[in-house]
Amino acid sequence: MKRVYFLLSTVLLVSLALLLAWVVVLTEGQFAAEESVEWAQFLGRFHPVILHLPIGLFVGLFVVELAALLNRNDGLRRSAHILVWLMALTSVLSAYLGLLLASNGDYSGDTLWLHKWLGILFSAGALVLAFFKVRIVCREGVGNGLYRFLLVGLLVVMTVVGHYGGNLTHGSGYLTAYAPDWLAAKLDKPNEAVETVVSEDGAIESNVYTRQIQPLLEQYCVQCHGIEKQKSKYRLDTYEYLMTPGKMGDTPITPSMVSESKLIEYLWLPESDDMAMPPEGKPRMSAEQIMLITHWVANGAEGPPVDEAAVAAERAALEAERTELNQLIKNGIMVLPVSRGSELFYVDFQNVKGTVADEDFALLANYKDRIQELKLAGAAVTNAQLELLRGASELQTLNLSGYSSADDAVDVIASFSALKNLIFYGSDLGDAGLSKLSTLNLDSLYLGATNITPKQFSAYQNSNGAVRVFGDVDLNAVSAIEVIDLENTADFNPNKK
Amino acid sequence: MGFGMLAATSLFQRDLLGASLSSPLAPQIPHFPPTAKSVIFLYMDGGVSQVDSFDPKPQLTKENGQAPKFKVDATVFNNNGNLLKSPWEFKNYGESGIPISDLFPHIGSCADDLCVIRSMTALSPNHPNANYALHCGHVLAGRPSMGSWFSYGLGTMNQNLPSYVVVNGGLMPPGGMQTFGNGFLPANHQASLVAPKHPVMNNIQPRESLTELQRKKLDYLNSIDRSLFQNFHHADEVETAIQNYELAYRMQMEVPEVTDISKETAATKRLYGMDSPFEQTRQYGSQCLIARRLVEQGVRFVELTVSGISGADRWDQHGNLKAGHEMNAFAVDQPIAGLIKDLKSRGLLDSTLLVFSGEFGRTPFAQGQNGRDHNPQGFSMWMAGGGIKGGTIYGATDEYGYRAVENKMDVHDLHANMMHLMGIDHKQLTYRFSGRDVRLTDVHGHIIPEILA
Repeated sequence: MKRVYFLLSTVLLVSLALLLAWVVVLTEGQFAAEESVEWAQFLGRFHPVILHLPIGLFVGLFVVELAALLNRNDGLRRSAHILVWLMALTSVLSAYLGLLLASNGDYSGDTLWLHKWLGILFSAGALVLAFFKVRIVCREGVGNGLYRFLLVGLLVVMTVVGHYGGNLTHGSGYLTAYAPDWLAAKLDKPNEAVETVVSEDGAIESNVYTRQIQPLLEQYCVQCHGIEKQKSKYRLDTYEYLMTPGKMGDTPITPSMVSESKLIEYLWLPESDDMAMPPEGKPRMSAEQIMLITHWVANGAEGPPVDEAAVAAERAALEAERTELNQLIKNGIMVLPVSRGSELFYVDFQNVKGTVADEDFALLANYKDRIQELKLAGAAVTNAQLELLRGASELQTLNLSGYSSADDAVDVIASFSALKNLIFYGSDLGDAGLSKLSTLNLDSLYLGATNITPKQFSAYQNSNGAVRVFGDVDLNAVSAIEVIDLENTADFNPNKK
Repeated sequence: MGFGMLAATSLFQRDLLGASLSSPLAPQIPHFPPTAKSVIFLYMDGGVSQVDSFDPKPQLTKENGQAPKFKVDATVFNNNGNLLKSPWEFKNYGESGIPISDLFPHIGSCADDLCVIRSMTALSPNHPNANYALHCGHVLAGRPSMGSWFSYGLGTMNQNLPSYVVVNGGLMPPGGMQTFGNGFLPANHQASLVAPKHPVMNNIQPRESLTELQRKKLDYLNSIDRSLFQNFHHADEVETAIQNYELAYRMQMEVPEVTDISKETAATKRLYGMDSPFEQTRQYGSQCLIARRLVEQGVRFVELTVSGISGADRWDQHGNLKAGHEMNAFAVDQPIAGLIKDLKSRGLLDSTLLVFSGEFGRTPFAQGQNGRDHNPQGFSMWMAGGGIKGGTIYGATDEYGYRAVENKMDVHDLHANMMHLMGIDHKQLTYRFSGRDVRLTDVHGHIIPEILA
């Protein structure tokens, strides 16, 4: 009888092992090639349901065996016999389902690889353990030593498999995210939950991206848009990637511009929508979570804290820059970024009355390659000062209305290689100066109320066809219209009034 | 994270100027690079008739005197007669060939700079409400005027002048001062009115014979206000009052200077029609000239109102269309064209947005025998300069010029596009009031790429 039981058991265990090998081959090959096999996906989702059975059973088995060892109780040994069977059967079932779940492509990466192969190892070990137990029970010559050794070994493997499985589901930082500081330090892992950065004004504040945004993206998005997979060529696993365009050409987020942030749009779409993210069937963010990300983007989408030393240096440089610029602004020279986020400046001398201090202009000259537009607005800037801007590489629009000694300024103006719009209205520019302007590749040139002769004006126009040249307003044309206007106003004649 | 990113997010926004300019009117950084830096709003009070100005309708001429074949909505006076053809001929102007009536031959000569919008609509058929909507984006009084929004969003370049100036021709728009009001925005952003005559502004001449005396008075007043300010923690109204005294002090120098057009050359004055035989033309010419001078000085938003000279009237010709529109057109046509040409010659048209609009249009059918009633269903307006695509016609009304039927536009769209040209995302510029982040465009407004250069 024992012989029959032993043989049947051996056959069953061997076929289960062969089945396991076959499922491994199947999921590695055929299934992996396809995006998803529906029934495999359906069954695979039972993996998390089943897997807790072998874990519990194994712990039970371990405790019963330990008790049996101490008590030498036959009843306990018989219980262990039942437990080992149940444990082996459920663990191998769990492995089958796990392999099916892995094959649908939702999971990938090192963690998966470790979890999968250690899981297979554990299931195979469980079958061997059951086999040993059957041999012991049937007195087929295996000692308790090997069995107990395997039992302890499998406990270790199971713990590791379970840990990686948990990481796959909840993310790797899940367990330690709220660990107390001393423990987090021991684990050599920064405690993300309480990570802080020092803000500009010295206040301690939590970094919203690191603490709240990244974990959300990690949980809901990074599986398909991360280092392992980049569906539609989008990645959301680092701050930089959030502003990197993907297949559709849009960037996931544009700081401060919610309407320009596709990620926000996709998150808010109802699950039924084809573009909704995460797609139908995947866990979806709650409205509060999406609102959090939306607010973060709307408020400038501040990034994670970076290399402290680099940031400190950068901040010091910016601080120095700000002090200098504020000095200029205080003295009436408006030096303003052309738009948010731009490093280029619009410089306006509107609030300067009369002359400009040399040291102010020298200070401004430090930023000459970042000036995009310069409006002197009647301030008495001298050629010696303008000379300090020689070679300004980004200057596109220069307004020199009312400038004096303009002819002598032309030489330095010709060094502004990016210059597009040049306004000399009301300056004392003459023919000599104009003739030297031909080297510039201008879009528009304003020459009204200058000393330029009509002859030189048309000569310049003829030889620079691409430049829109504006001179004085033609008053004769205005007079001609006036005549017509008076003819047309039959019922209303202002001359009669 | 690059240099620019840190700069953009932390250091270079509103706080940049905080250290050196503790002014609520300090220039602000636009959301994106602007094409226009200033706006001149040419408000055509009363409502210009579209079929008589920028929207020719041959069908109307053909069916002149016949009963309208289309459904006529109730109008304000509801004294609707038959179809009334335009008494003026249209000509095609410039390379773009935009048709403009004989009412505006001077503006016609600037056709290639204009973007004529023929599908504008109003939110109300009544003057005050349509007016509030045009200025403030809402038909009821009490909202901030667009000039106030621009002031709030962008501040102003010149710290000695207000950011929002109305050059008042004398005829207060229906709806009164609330048209230019700051609403719930800080009071620094309300319009300052200047007149194109002496005195340009009440009390702009100091009463004190010595500057030090006035300064001492102001400092004392300031110290009293400051202690009040400290008693009421963060009382915006007190802070605003303090700031207004200081701005007024600085304006004493600048305002008389910037409004003094006597130093302008004879050619410039002639360009603006200041030698016209008609007083209203001369006055509007000086308004336009002051507007240019204000923009030159960095003022953010300038609005011109129509003339209040005796005998003048708004464009509200319920009767006597021909005489009334001719008079009004004659008053503004040459000065406005002069302004466009002068700005262009000075290299300022590219950075100055001109907007010409009434609060609504007029009916293509007659009111009584020879007038036209209010028509909010479709009318024409135009924009020029500051990033607008010149020589363009956008939208269309039906064949009678009654209703906008193609690319319909409303005041929110107008405001959204004006803001866009000034570098503001109209969806981002908000002010928290009554528990809401309120926008000029409320929940509306579309950017129209077809009208942008």
